[in-house]
Amino acid sequence: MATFEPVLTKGVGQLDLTDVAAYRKNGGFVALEKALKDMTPESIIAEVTASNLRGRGGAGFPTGKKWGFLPKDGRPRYLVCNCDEAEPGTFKDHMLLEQTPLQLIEGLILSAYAINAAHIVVYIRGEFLEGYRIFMRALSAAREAGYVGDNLLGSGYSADILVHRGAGAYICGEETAMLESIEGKRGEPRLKPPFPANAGLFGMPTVVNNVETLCCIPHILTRGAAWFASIGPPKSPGPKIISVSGQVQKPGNYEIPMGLPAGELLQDYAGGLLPGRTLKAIQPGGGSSAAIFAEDLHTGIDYDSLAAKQTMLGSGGFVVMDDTTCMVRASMTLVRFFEYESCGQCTPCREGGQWVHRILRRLEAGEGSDADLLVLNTINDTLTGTNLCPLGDSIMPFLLSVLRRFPQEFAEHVTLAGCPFDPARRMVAA
Amino acid sequence: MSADRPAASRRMVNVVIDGSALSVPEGTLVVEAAKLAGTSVPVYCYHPKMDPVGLCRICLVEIEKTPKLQIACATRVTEGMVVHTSSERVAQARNGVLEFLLLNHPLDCPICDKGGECDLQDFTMSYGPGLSRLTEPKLHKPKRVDLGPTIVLDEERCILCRRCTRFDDEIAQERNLVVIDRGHRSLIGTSDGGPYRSYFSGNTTEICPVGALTSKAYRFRARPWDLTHADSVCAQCSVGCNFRIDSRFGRIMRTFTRENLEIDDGWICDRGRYTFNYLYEPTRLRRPLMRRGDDLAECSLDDAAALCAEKLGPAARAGRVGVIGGGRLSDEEAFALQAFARQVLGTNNIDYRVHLQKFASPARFGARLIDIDDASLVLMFGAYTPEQAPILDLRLRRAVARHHTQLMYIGPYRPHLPVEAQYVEYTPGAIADLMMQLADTVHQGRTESGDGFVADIARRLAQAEKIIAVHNGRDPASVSALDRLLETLAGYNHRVGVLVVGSQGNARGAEAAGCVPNLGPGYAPCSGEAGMTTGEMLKAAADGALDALFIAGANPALTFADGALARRALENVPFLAVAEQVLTETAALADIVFPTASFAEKRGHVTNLEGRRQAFGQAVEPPVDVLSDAEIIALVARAMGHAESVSPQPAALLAGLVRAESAAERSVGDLLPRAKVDAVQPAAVEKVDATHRTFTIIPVPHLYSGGGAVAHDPGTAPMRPRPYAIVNPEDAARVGVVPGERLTLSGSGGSIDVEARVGPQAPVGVALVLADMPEAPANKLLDASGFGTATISKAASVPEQRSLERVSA
Amino acid sequence: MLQAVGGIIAGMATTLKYLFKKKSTIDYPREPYPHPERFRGVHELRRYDDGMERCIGCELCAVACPANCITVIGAENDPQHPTAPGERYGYRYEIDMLRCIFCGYCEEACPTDAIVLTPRFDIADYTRDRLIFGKDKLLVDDPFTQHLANTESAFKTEPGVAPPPSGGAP
Repeated sequence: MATFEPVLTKGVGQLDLTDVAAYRKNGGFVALEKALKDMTPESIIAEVTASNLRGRGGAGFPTGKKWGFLPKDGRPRYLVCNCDEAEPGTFKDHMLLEQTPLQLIEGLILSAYAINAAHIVVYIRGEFLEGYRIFMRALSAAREAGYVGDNLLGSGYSADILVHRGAGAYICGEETAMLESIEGKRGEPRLKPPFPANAGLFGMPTVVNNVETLCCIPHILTRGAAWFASIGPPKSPGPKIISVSGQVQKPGNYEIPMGLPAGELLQDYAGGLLPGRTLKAIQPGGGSSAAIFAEDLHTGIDYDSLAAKQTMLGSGGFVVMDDTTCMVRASMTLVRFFEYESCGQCTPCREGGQWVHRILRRLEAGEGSDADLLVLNTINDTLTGTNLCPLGDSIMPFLLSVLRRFPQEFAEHVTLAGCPFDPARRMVAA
Repeated sequence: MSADRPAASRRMVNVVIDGSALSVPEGTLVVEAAKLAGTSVPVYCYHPKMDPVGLCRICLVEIEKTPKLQIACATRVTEGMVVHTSSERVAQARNGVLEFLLLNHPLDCPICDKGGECDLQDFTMSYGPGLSRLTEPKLHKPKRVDLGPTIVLDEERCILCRRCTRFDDEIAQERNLVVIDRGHRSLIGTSDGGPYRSYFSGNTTEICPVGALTSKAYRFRARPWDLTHADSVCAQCSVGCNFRIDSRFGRIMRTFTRENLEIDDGWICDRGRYTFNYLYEPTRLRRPLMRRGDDLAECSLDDAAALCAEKLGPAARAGRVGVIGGGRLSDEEAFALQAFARQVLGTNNIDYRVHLQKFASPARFGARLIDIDDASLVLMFGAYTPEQAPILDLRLRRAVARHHTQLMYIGPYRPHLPVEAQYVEYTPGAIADLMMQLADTVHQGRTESGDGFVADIARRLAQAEKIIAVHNGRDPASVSALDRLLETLAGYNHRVGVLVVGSQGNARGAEAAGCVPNLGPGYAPCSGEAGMTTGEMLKAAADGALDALFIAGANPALTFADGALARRALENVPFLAVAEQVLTETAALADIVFPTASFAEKRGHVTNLEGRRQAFGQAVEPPVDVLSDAEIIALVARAMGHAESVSPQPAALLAGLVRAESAAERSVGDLLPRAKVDAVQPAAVEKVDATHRTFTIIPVPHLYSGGGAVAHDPGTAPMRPRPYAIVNPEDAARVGVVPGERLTLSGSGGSIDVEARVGPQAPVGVALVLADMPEAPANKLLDASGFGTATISKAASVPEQRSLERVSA
Repeated sequence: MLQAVGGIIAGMATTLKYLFKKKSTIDYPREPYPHPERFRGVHELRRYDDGMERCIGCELCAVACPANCITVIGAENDPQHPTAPGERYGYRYEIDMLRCIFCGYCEEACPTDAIVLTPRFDIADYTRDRLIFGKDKLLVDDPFTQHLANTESAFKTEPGVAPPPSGGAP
């Protein structure tokens, strides 16, 4: 079993961390008290920059740098927490919200203090109803305890948190679409530039951070940037929660040090594959990421190592597929998700997505042709990289990676006029 | 991020587009720079008048040192940028995007109204794939969706570029058109699910790059290549929007915008766009009519002219004749009309003013429409631009929304304005006092201190850098007070300007051409004694002091403030000749009716509210016996033996007008003190004691109200309002008025039946009555001041306008 | 003498010979003149098998016409009682037969195979007006008696089914 001592998930499952006293006992609010008493906003930004913390939402942009982009022109600033976790295969923020809401609140107040934000908005995915209730309870408890509200801990600094619930759109996880949604408009990505740092929520400078990123902040301030930077590879350090799902013995959220080889995560944490199965493909970064295969198990789980394998860490959804999984069906399911969630602004994403989905659906139903395979192989040039936001670019990576790796499986769907993994067909074949 | 930022202040940068180097202002969009470089980048979602959104992705171009293709519609040029708009990568991307757009686009080009002028067709031919690789059936969406009274939507053809929704949001500021649902299931619809009603809806059919939005008026009537184009100018209101009339087989099929950045900015309103089918209705006058007892019977043109000459001659010799009209004629015809009055009939009894308007030109500080764009404060009183000058209002909306222009509306009731505005409730007669107080406050420098809203307005005025006043030239007292206020402000280095919204399309042209009792062409004082104003003529006619009236392009029976007087006068005058296109309330009382040509059927010039004289061309031929007003006037003059006095030729008339104007050497500037006006001035509205059922009546304008062309046009009929009266909820509760029920309003000149409405915009004790409706002429209730009183009671019977109700339901 | 008699006999023999041969003239107009299958004569506006008019009033024939002899005016179908499938139909369709050069371009341009040229050619008449053919003369009454087009129909339809389908390649 793994030896890494959990940081973000410390006490989860053992203590009721939604309770202020329990959270304090677990080491909570130490950073907040220390920061408000002894630290200036600049020193917090410096500490976070030194820690090399990279955004856990998917893009992996250095958090300290993001904070530093805010223009110093006296306009009110906003801090927005992205808790609209809807990436297929990712469920870490869900857990953090429900299990450690006070940790998130502490991170929010610290970050808001660091960037001198006038308002904090937490955008919670509409489906996280229980998480929302837990968070609201924790918020009022924290407010009562004096960690949220006016004149925090006598420092003169005031910050309050506004909670905004989404209404079930994946696209609202994109930061500018989220801002539109908070503004009360249709949740659709904006044209960039201007970036949120300059013109974000209601046209004001805005920082959008992921839940897990914000949860890292208290620990960086308590234990120091050097400690944080020492975990994992220097360019993408820190603890990381990986949501393991798929055909493994023990699916679930696991906190690992960055750079842990994928094989170790699979074996030591998730308990390995189901008996008698062999590994076929792994999505290391949620539904948007390209697959890695059995020979890539030594690859470290961090931003740069995975990028070198033409995939990404993304939000940390680790989806394992074994040899019983039909790749056509798997990619069809994923493409259906993206097609359904496309906001409909950009032509390639809107039209291309539904076309690819229809082709895959037909292939899986045994009505595909060689012409369809040709379309799948060539459509990427116009579908990917031509859109306003990353959703359109998320449609093809997994499909393309498995199409290149298992072309014969796709071809078989055409020649057999059906899915070779179809149980009925297998019985006939036997 | 505004696309219409002034370019002058920007630094120039050097860019290379497709090998040609050029220097463009910094911040120019690549797509605009490419136009300057002589290449065109295909676009769907981009529209020069709206903010870039970058949705359609057809405009992808290659920019050196940028790995990914960039959208030309949202990327701004920087120094040293090298752009390729036709490289292999770009061609491939365009091909791909077009393949996506065409995937589910139906193949009904042969029946599509846009076929032949469709961007999707054109770009597919230029850049698109020859074949689709889609093998399954296309996805289907609703076709023939009735979006509103003017528009049919085909969801299948829609490529979701959102030009229409953005037009409604950014330009019209009405935010009614929206995208419904998500992804490829997106549909265009209205935010409330109801019909799309807008005064500007026709523009969306024009900016739609495909045939998704089609206008009901033009639907399946012709193909683009069938149409003959004629450049024209809209004369429905005084803004003078430029447009193009497209006709086929001598019949108008549709109208299309003709961009004039200084006037219409490339938009026209629906009244201007759709009011042309009345020309082909049975109600259009096609033959001269002569009174035979109680009826009007058809006669020949010569007979009509002969009778006219026979009756007008003795009346003219006795000096008992009057001429009314000019505001709906062209400049040339207005000149002909005054020449007819002065030279043929030998009288100065000529007046174009048949509404409450007294002046069409500003006394001083004449502004231009584009002055609204960068005004810091717009002061509006009397005029109500959303209904009376919609395209001017569009400019105002943009100024308020984009350039933080303050809009201040002073009036007796709170109108519905689509943009943020400061409303100052003031009774019309008291506006002059308010202006004087403001002028004093500003003049004495008492803007910093002082309480009360006069001081507040004065403070705003003092802080505004550029002030534009918009009024309707109705109240000379408030106009001279405004003049003084503006003079004071100008003295403090404020930039000031005035726009006078005309009640008639060519009011300013008629005024300049000399259709005024004491001023000839070019505002020169006319020889002899000043003639009678419209009010005086009608009074004289009612008292039997006039023997004949000649009315051209005017409908005083419906539009003159004192309706009872107008009707009495027209009924009592021994001989009444009217030149009209349809049988208006005035024409129905005439002894001779000449059918006249519409603006599409003649050529000439019109002068808009800022004094700009614009030429319009002839689009179609009028019916055989239908002549232009100039030809009718010339015909009557010839029958009276004065063939040399009035020419029927627009060119000769214009030459005469220009000659007269240059000889006059008079500018508009000193008009105000000299033009003769009716003695009656708008009095302060007295708040009638509201314990009884007596209310003060204030007429309110509507874009589609009126008794002439618009009343007979089938295209605008669905938008035409039913006559209504709005009362305050407090009053409604007191006298028991239920919204929707029929009310009878009885005043001194008769009674009218209207629909009851209840709304806070009506002050207590006031009923706002829709003006200029032939079914219920509000002027029956008014006196010469333009206001009146009436008692409200429940209507006795079911209304007659059954058909109208069904149409607008 | 003999020579003269011989000449007459020879002549009569020739006459006799041709008397029993098949005649090269025909009894026109009682007997129709046979035309090649693809002869281009008078036009015909065809219907779908369910009786709907094929013409959608798109005017492409009028555009293609080099003699400018076709006039089409479209109109919107009554959704309850459509004249042609889809939203639009040919409200007026006129061909000036005196101008027509029978080139067949209209036939090629037609997207629904509505206008076809038949082998019929005898359209002489006494006035020019009567040689402007409207829908009354051009439109066939019964879809099953209409002339077979030179080209194979692109849209075969089941009765009651509204063609053309909006699928397929652009």
